Amino acid sequence: MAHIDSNGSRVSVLKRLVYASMIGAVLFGGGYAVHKSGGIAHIYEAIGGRIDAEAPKAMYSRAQMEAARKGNKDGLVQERPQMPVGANGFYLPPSEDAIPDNPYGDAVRRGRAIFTDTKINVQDHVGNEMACVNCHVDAGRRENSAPMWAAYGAYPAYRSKTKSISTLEDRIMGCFMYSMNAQASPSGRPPEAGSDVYRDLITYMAWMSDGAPAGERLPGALYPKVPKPEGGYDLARGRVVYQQNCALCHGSEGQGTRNEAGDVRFPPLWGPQSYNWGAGMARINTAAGFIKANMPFGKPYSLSDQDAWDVAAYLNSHERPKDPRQTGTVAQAAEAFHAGEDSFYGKTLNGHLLGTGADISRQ
Amino acid sequence: MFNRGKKRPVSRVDAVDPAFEPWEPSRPIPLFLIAVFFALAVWGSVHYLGDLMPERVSKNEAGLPNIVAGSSQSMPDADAPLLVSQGSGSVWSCASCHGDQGQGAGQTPQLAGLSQAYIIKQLQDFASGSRSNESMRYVATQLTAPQMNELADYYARLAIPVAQAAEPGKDIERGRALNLHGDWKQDIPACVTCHGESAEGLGPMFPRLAGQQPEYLFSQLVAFKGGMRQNSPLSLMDDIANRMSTEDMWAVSQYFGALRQQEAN
Repeated sequence: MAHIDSNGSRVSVLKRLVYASMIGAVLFGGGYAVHKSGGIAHIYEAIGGRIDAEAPKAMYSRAQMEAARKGNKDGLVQERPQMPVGANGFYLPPSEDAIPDNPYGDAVRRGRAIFTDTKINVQDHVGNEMACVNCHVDAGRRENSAPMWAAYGAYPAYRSKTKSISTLEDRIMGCFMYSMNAQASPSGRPPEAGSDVYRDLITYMAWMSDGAPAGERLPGALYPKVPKPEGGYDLARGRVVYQQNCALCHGSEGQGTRNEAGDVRFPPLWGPQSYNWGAGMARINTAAGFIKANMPFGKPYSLSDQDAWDVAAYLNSHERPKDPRQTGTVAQAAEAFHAGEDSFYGKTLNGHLLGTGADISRQ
Repeated sequence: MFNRGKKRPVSRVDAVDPAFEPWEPSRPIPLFLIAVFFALAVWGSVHYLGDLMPERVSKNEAGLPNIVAGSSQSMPDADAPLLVSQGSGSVWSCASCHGDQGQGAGQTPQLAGLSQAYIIKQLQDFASGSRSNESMRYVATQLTAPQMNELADYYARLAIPVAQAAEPGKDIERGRALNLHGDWKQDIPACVTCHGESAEGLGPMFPRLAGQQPEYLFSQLVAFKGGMRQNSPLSLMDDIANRMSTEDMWAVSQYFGALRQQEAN
């Protein structure tokens, strides 16, 4: 193209390049400045774009409840305080950072610590590697995970398990006895009635339940009922479901996972360090409900009803610590305490009578 | 056939513009176009250099050893595998991107302190394509199993650089809450459940998060959410990231980036 220019092409080309680079630098600088100033975001917002994916709002927040309460107290009754309800339609417990800094708050914090690290905080009365939080997800706040805010207002109640009235303390004592297998603990029994363990735990529950009506069966209470599949359940299928979905954390032998320091991070599901035969979780229907709503952890409701039942049956077809109520034979205990329930207690599987108890020395 | 073809060229010749000059002088390229080209070139090279020369840890607490390029301690240890410091004939060195101390920068992860099993699994996933990253796919396919073991072992035992101090703020607070409690109203479990009490990681599946490069953490959460990274077991992280807002992903990334190690094992 050398022939195109008559008046000194090189100079003109160079000049143009210099101009272009200067304009280019200005363009870059301007663009960078706009980017840094967040101007694009402002423009985007101005034309109606939404940048903040805001957390879904509560249907009836705790602040609204507090405001209504205050109105009531001041005699300006405009609105009856209602139960706080989160964006997902379930009761909204107070946030963790709302625990007050006073002696009441201290008890709440102690209760919460017992709830999440039961073995560390109640050493003498825990006989396995389980903690409250293992079955009651999110430190007892999670709906459909037997939340404490639903349990708090439900006691005292008549329980067919004990054929008597249980107070909340009695009920928690049952958890220590069965789910935390207190019979194998250093003291061999749950904390005594009136113990500070119950006082702190119940204070924690009371704090969490502020605003939840008592006596009413709240949505999200207990575990959801998963209908028993028409074809029943199958242990071989359950084993496959287990290896695919559970073994990652609970280990292929169901003995849980420990960290390098030896602390249990994911609890054992059967064997001597798991819940005993008297625990509610040892019933297949109960375990299926818990699993369906909460497992795999972080993937609620990802298993089908059939899978939940199959895998629940698989877990509960393994030997675990014996039912502490058993005084005579397993058959007698099965008759007295396990009649008509969906469990393997007292049944013989592969030549082994289930219910005789997992031997700790074999661990 | 040829007869039929004969007539057409005649009409085409008529259609040719007699004024057409094949050697017409080209018009100069518009100045603005060249300017845009310059601007893009500047942007591109800044971006490229930024990736090539990873940011270094500059802020640090007084009294703690600093990791700064150029200082004598910034060289990989003498006993580091050659692949770390020099690479091989076909593969560039690990340190060229992940830093002399395996500290990473920006979107390049810190490798120091990740567990051996986790690093090996990621290399295998890069090679198989279940975790996508072109550079790492190339590197991983060039490595033999013993080399992977050696590298993973080296980085697992490497001293963990001290995390940058965090300025307390909304993000850090939100990140802490997500780590300790999650946000169950959105089905986000607490990070601590699987990644460990001080985010030190657990086994081959749950990596250490404490002190990891925040931009890297954020990029991975975005990748999980967008389906670009699919090697999380049971697609756990895909699901969790999917429920997280961009702000929450940024907040936890900032939080873990600034989280100090309790003690390097």
